[in-house]
Amino acid sequence: MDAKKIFEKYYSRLALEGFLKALILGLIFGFAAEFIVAFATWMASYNGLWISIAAGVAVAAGMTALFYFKKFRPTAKQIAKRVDRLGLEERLITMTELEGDDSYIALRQREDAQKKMREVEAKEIKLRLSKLAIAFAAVFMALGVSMTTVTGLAASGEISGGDDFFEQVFPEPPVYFEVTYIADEGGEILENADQVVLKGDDALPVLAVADEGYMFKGWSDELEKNDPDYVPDPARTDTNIQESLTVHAEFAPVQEGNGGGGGQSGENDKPQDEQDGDGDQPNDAPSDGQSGGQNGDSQQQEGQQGQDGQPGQEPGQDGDGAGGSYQENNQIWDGETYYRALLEEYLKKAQEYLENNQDLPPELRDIIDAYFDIIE
Amino acid sequence: MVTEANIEKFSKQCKDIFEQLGRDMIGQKDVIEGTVIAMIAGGNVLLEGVPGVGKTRLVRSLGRVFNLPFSRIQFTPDLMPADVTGTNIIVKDENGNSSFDFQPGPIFSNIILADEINRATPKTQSALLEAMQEHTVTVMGVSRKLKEPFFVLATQNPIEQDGTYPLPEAQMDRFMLKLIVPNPGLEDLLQIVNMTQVTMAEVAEAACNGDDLLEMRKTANQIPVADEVMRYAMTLCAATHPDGECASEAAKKYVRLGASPRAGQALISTAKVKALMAGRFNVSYGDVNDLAYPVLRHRIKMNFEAIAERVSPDDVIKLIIEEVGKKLKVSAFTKAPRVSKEEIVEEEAGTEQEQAEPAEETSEKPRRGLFKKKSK
Repeated sequence: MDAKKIFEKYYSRLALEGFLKALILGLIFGFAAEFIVAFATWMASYNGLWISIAAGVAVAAGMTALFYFKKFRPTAKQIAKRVDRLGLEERLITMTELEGDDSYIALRQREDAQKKMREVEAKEIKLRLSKLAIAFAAVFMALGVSMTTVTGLAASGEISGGDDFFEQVFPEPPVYFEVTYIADEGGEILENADQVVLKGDDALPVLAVADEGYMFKGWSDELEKNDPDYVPDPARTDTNIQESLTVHAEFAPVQEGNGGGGGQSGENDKPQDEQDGDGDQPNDAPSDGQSGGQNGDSQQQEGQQGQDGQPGQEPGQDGDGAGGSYQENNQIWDGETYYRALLEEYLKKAQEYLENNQDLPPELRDIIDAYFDIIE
Repeated sequence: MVTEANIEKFSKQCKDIFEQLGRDMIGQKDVIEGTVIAMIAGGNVLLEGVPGVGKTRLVRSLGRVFNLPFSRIQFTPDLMPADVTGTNIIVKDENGNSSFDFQPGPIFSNIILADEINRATPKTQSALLEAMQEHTVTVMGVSRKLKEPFFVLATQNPIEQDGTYPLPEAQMDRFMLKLIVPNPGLEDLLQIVNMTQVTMAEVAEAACNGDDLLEMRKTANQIPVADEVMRYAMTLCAATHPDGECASEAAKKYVRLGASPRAGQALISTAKVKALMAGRFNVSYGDVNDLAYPVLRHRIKMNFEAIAERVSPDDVIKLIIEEVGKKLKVSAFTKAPRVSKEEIVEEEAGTEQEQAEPAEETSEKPRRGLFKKKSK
């Protein structure tokens, strides 16, 4: 049944109502889309002003058309039901169902229905729009327009972008890590052995100092790598801390009476290794390559030292120390450990500060002070 | 096939029927209309009311108006089934040979007034079951067809319950409508007394005959019912079942047993007659709602909770109508019918005539709300 033809009088009014209903729903979807696009572009610090407006308009138009043609376009039956509500006692619904029936009773029914229908003016049909839908449309409109304004202002630099905004509003809680330096037997960690460091920050510098009769062997994490070129550095500063850290400073006892001739020391180590066998004892240290180098390869190292032109004592002069051969970071003098090169490095830094008329950083001052305390 | 002549005849005969009944009956328009509707629809009627409100007079007048043979059976506890149906008696012919001869009981008539039906024993009450449904009577294994049209119009007194036998559900279900006959109002009482001072005799004349009634039934059966109206009517019936899929909250709370499928048939049959009597060629939600009370009130069995809370079947029906109306969005349709200017003029003319001739009431246009719920 062609609703437009039979209910011509009411069709335009109910079509208007259907269109308004579809429009309200379309606007809800359109503004929602606008909000989402504007929010996304704001978060991405991208100028999404026109994109969000275009998205909103496109979605609203599409959804309005979809809702109208699929749901709200008035059909003959819907029009009949609406007009029947004006007191026509289901005459029009029955009439639409009797379409094509040519019996006398159907003809009379149609005649009766049309007679009654003529008495009903189109304006008597009140447009019925859902207040809830209108409220929703208003809310979504406010959200969409606001978000579009925000993304527009952010794009022009008037306000901050979404990522900055959220970082300000919802800052990440600080994450701290524990950085622990443990001195094994034969030494100690000078200052700052236990630290609590903010994620990404640098740890304070620490210094491993060997006791009398011991020498610094290396840091546990470095030793685990078994790097043959590893040169132990008792000074350590861990940077960009991303996790908790526990590092052991390992020390090895210095062999008494082996001072001086590194070659002699190397000869002495060999039978000692054979006797121990398992290689776990502190005396096995020469077998791991590092200490072996200290003892057995002393002449070669001496040569390197000579080439490097390091200041200080001659290798041969160190032979009468507490033990071990000369190393840049392991020099024994009068029974005390003496970190000359390190001191020189700190002194160099300190000089730079002083030349620049700057105050010494407290940690640098502490290290220098501590060092001189030791040698006193 | 219904023709214009059928429709006009129906309309004229309805007018005549109500006019003639109005000569004998003062007031009780709802009851009169309900009874006539049931008779046209081919159903039996149970009239419930206190003594003296005109139940028996109405039935007698109907017999006169429809020009149909009328039998009155006064139901008493000692009434036997054979007293209702008739029995075989031994008769002797001229030659002295004995044979059984069937002597028909009072049920072999067109209109049966079963007065105070609940005073007879269930055995006697059940003698009516076959007659009411199949319109046949079986005695000694021989079935005899009753004359058409056949109606049982039963009365019962709701007050005096001593020595009565409540009608079983099977019997109740065979009454198309149960009409409550109220006490007349003051104005009606004045008219009744004035009229009966002159004469107690019934003055109604025949308005039609049995064939006319059958033709009217055929005509009314052709009235179309829209699918939605039909679904609504059936949902109302289904909603009376507390355990059904359409069970209403009211039924779940107050009903022990819901209406049978006969209720649905009765609802549609009577609604068609009512619509045609109103000059409409389709059934409306209003017709269904109006007839739901007399159709359903005797078919639903209340539970203990309803009895304890003094909730009547009419209260439950009202709740079901409201609930189903909301569920199927029918409530908006059941507004007052639209009255055209022509109808207003006709109504005014009718009112003037009524004022001039108070004894000759006409029921040309049945009004809304004829079957108001019974007050608690």
